Amino acid sequence: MTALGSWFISALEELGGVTRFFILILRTAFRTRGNLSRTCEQIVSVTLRSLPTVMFAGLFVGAILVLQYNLVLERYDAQSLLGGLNTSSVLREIGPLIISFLLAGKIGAYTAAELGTMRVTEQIDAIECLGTNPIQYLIVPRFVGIVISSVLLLILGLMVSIGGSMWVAQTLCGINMLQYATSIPQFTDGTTIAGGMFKSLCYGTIVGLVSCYKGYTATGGARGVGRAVTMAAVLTNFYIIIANFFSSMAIDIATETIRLIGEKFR
Amino acid sequence: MTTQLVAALEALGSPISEQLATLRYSFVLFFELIAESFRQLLRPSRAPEVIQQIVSIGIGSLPIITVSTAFAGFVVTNEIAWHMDRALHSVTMIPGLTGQFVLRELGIAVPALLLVAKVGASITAEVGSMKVTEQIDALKLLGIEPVGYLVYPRFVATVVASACLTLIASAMTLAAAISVACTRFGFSLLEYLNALRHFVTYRDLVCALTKGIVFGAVIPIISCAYGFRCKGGAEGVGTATTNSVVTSTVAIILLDFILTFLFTRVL
Repeated sequence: MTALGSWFISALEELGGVTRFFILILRTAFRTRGNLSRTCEQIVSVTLRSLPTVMFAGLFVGAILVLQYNLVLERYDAQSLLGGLNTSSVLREIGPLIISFLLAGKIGAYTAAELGTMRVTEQIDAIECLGTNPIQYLIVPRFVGIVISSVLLLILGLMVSIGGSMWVAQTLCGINMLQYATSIPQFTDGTTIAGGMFKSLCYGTIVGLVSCYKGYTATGGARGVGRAVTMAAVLTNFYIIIANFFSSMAIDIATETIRLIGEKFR
Repeated sequence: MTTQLVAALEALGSPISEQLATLRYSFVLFFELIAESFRQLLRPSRAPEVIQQIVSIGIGSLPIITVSTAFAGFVVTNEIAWHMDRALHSVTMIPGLTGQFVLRELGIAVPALLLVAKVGASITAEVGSMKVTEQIDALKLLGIEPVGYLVYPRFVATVVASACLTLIASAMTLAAAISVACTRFGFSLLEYLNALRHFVTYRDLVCALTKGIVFGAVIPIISCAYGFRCKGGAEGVGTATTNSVVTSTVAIILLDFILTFLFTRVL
C-alpha cells in the first residue's frame, strides 16, 4: 500500500514536470524564431530511421488481430464481418496503440539517449554558455519533428496493417480478399479515420514530449543516461495507455455529437 | 565514385551487421543460460539473488501494469461493444468476444510491451553501464562467470515475474471488461460469467501462460545481449538501451503472431 502510494505521488510529480516542460516548449516555439531546416532534418532522419520497423510491426499487428477475431467469429459463423471488424479496430484502437509502443522505443528512447548524452557530457551547458537558448535550438525542432513524423509513421503503419491483414485473412484464414474488402465500409467511415488520426496526433505529442523531457533532465553519467532512456520508454507507454482511454472517450462523444447534429439538419 | 558507393553501403550495412551480431549473441546467451539453469538446478547457489530480483522486477512493475491494463480493458471492451452494436444491433456477443480477446491477446501483449520498457530497458542500462565502466571485465578477472552471476538471476526472475504478471494483468483486464459490460450494457455479473464459460476454457489459460513465459524469457536475453555488447561511454549505453527496447518489442510482436497462429491450429 505504501509502495503504491509513493508510486502514485511520484507519478503525479512526473506529470507535473512534463506539463511544465510542455508549456515551456510551446512558449518558446511561439515566441522565438523557428528553425525550419533543423526541423525538416529531424523529420527526415526520424522517419527514415523508423520506417522499416514500423511497417514490419504494422503488418504483424494486423495479422495477430485477424487470427484472434477469426477465432471468435468462426464460432458465431459471422466471418463475413471479419474485414470490417478488423479494419475498424485496427484504425480506432489497437493499431495506434501497439505501433506507438514501438515508436516509444524507436523514437522516444533514441531521442532521450541523444539528449541525455548531450546533458551528461555537458554539451547542453556549453550551448547555454554560448548564449543560445537550448530549448529553442535543440528541443523545439526535435519536438515538432517527432510529432510530425510520428503521425506520418502511424498513418503508414496503419495502412500497411490494413493491407497486411487482408493478405493474412486470405492466406491463413481462407477468406476471400474481395469479401474481406466489401465488409470494410460497413464499419469504417470518415469518423473512424478521423479518430485514428486524432489518436496518432495525441500519441505523437506524448512520444516527443516525454522523450525530450527525460533526455533534457538526465543527470549522472552513463548510468543516468540509461535511467533516462528507461524512464522515457516506460512513461511514454504509460501515458499512451492513459491517453488512449481519454481520447477514445473524446472521440465517442464527438462522433455522437456529429451524428445528432446530422439528424437535426436532415 | 566506387569508393564513395562502397563507403555509403558500408555506412548503411554496419548498423545492420551489428544488430545481426547482437541477435546471434542472444542465441548464444540463450544456450548458455539453459546450461547454467541445469547447473543451478543441481547445485543452487544464486537463490537469494534470484528471489531479490523477482521481488524487485515483479513488485516494481506491478502498479504500472495493473493500472495500464485496467485502462486498456475499459477501452477495448467499449470498442468491441460499439462494433457489435453497429454490426448486429445486439450486444449479446460481448462476453465471448471480450473475454477471449482479453485472455488471448490484450492481457498478455500489453503487459509484455510494458515489461520491455520497464524491465528490459533497465537491465540493458544496468548491464551496459557495468560494461562501459569495466565492472564486467573486473568480474571476469576475479574468475566469476558474468552469465551465471548477472544474467541467470535476471532471466529466471523475469520469466517468473512475467508469468505471474500476465495472470494478474489478465484478471485485471477481465475485471475492467466485466465492469464496463455491467455498468454500460446491462449485463449482470452472473450472466457475463455464464456466457464467458462457453467461450473461455483452460486452453486460453494455457495460451496466456505460455505466451507470458516466452515473452518473459525473450526480454532478459535480448536486453542482456545488448548490455554485454555495449561500447563507449554514456552514448553507448543510450544507444544499446534504445536498440534493446526496439528489438525486444519487434521480437514480441513477431513471437505473438507465431504463437497465436500455432495456438489457433493446435489448441
